[in-house]
Amino acid sequence: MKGKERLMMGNEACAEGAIAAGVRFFAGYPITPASEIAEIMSLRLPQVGGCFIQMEDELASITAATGASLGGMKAMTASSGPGLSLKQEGIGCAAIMEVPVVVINVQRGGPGIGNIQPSQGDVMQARWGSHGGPQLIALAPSSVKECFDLTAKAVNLAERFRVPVIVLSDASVGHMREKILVPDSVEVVNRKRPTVPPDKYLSYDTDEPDGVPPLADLGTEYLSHITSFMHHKNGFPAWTDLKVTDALVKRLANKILWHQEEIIALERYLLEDADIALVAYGSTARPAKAAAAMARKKGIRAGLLKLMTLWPFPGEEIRKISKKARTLMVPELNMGQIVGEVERWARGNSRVVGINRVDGALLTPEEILARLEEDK
Amino acid sequence: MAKSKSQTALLSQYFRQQILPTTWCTGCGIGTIMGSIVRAIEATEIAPHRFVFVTGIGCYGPAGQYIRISDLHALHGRTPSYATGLKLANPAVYPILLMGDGDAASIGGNHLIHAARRNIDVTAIVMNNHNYGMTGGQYSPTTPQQVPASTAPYGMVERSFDLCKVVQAAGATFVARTTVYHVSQMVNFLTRAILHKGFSFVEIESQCPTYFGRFSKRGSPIAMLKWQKENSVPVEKAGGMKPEELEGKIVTGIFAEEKRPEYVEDYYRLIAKVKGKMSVQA
Amino acid sequence: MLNGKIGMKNEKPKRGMSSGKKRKAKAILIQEKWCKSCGICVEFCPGKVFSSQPGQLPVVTRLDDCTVCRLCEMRCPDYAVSVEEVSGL
Repeated sequence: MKGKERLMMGNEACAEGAIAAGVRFFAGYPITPASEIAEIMSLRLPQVGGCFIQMEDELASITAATGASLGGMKAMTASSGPGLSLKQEGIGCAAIMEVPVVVINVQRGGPGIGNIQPSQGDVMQARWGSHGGPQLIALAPSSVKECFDLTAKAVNLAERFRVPVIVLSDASVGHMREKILVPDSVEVVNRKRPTVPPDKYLSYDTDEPDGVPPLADLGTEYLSHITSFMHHKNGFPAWTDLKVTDALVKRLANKILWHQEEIIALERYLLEDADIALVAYGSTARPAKAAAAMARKKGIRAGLLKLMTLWPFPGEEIRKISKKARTLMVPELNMGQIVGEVERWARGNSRVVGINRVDGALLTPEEILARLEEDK
Repeated sequence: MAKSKSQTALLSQYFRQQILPTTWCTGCGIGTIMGSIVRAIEATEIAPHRFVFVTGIGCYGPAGQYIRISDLHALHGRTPSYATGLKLANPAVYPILLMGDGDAASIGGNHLIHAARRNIDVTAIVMNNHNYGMTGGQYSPTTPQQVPASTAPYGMVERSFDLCKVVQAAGATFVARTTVYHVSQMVNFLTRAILHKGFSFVEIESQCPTYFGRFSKRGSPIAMLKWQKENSVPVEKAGGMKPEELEGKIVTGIFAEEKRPEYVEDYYRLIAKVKGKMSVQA
Repeated sequence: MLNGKIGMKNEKPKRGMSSGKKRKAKAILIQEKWCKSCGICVEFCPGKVFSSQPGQLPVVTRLDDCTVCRLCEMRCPDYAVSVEEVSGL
């Protein structure tokens, strides 16, 4: 792959990954530990012909990004936990309006203002934070390279499925610096455009086999009606139409759930013969990998399933490994969020144990190894 | 201005007649306002497909379905920020923001003043009926003191905004107020607002006969329009009146019409200056 | 498209009338399916062309006095009034 090697901060890699995938609009609000993303976008976007705006608050940021996306610019916003809480209505609105938009969440300690230390406290919020529980996509980078790659992937998935995509970084990954190869170009996916003439265009043409309607830009001859009410194909509110509402709610979920092979990204490490499988994501993935390697040296058959996609949750993969491993261990920087999903999908096939740290520091390989050693 | 088109011609060109009548109450001001907006759009001679109604949540929210113009009917209070993103991404679009007094001044107050401050080239219309009509007549930031509302059963305690003063102080460069009764003036102001380069704000005193009309005892739609006619004071005249004389009156007219740097133009000028000049390290 | 009550036919234009200045209505149509009988057009017509009470459909009784100001069209919240103008005056 052709590119340039650069020493980069995780947050910067998110910004550059977005730009590489075609993002040309960013709206954001300052918040530690995400502010660098806004700062870098403010510098870089005009250089590539794009627009940056610091909006008056988090709600204005997600809604401006949504408006920009509807105007035809790939759009992104970034924040941390408190900001993600504020954005929830806007994210759900983008979900039902089916607007491609990316939200980077550089997680910190919560609840409340909490602290500015790393945490993984928002992973469930990313799935269920918006009322109505729309089916979103969420990706979790564990390195600076993954900040670049997964943000680019997030932009592409948002375009592909006309859905908000959340990138769950955290204060550790976001602020660490590593040398990465920044590729000269990345795969770019663009939103599906109408193939019919303007007078035949419907804002939410549900006859598409993949359940993803083509999207025309607002303000063109393709008259568009975008609403966050339950709506008909033509974009007008459906009020109390039971059939239309049922079909819409299901299609919004299924357009994601029926295409998981395009969305789920994982890494398997020493899993084939593992007795204990660590299931880790984000900032716990690398300590978990190190712990698995250390455990192997001690004769413990440990392995790692690294989740780079958190939502839709790779349940099938969990089910598969639960049939082979005695124990599934889920290290998290929270009181246990993904562990519940793991338990649900393991369906009693294996023991499921959480390893949790909530003091604002990272789980170390030694801590995880100690738990692996205890498991008999 | 060109000779005004007949209702028949406007209906044929702009309205989805097959879904009329509207769902708005008898005598509600919204229908008249939407008709005036259509007439204003027609008068600007700008291609209708360039307009996008960005509407908030309220009775007026689904107004776009009656009219063959694109619309974005999204979150309560956030129309100015949706429109900001839309306009920045596509400066050729003419966003027309439709808001109620609750939508614009309460939940959306922050976004309204910042859009005004930026002087972004959109047209913001507030249909001020002094309550939250859609949800049953609760008080809003423009409900007059002592008038009851469903959440002010003993009468409104709070003072209310003068919305035109608020946005003018925030930096809006076209600020006007009219009433549904003064329909020709309404079309005139709306046309000028759309053509104005910068943040245009038009507050329209509108009647909600079902809730505010009953709570305030202003009465039927006709009575409320008569009230608008009798209690409006043109700004030229208001200047010479004492504050007590203006108590409870609606001051109408154009309060500001200034040429100032517009946000999107300024930003694109920046892009033109900076584009292609890559920096290696942020 | 519009069906509704049709006002009285106006008489032939009088000789000597200044051409192009005075407008006359050929008919005023009320779209009964849309009209909510709010009475606004009746109440505020400068020429008192209509007569009826709120709650009733507007009735055109003085078509000759219509100057095609179109205020009724503009004020109608339901777009239910349409004034057809006599052309070529």
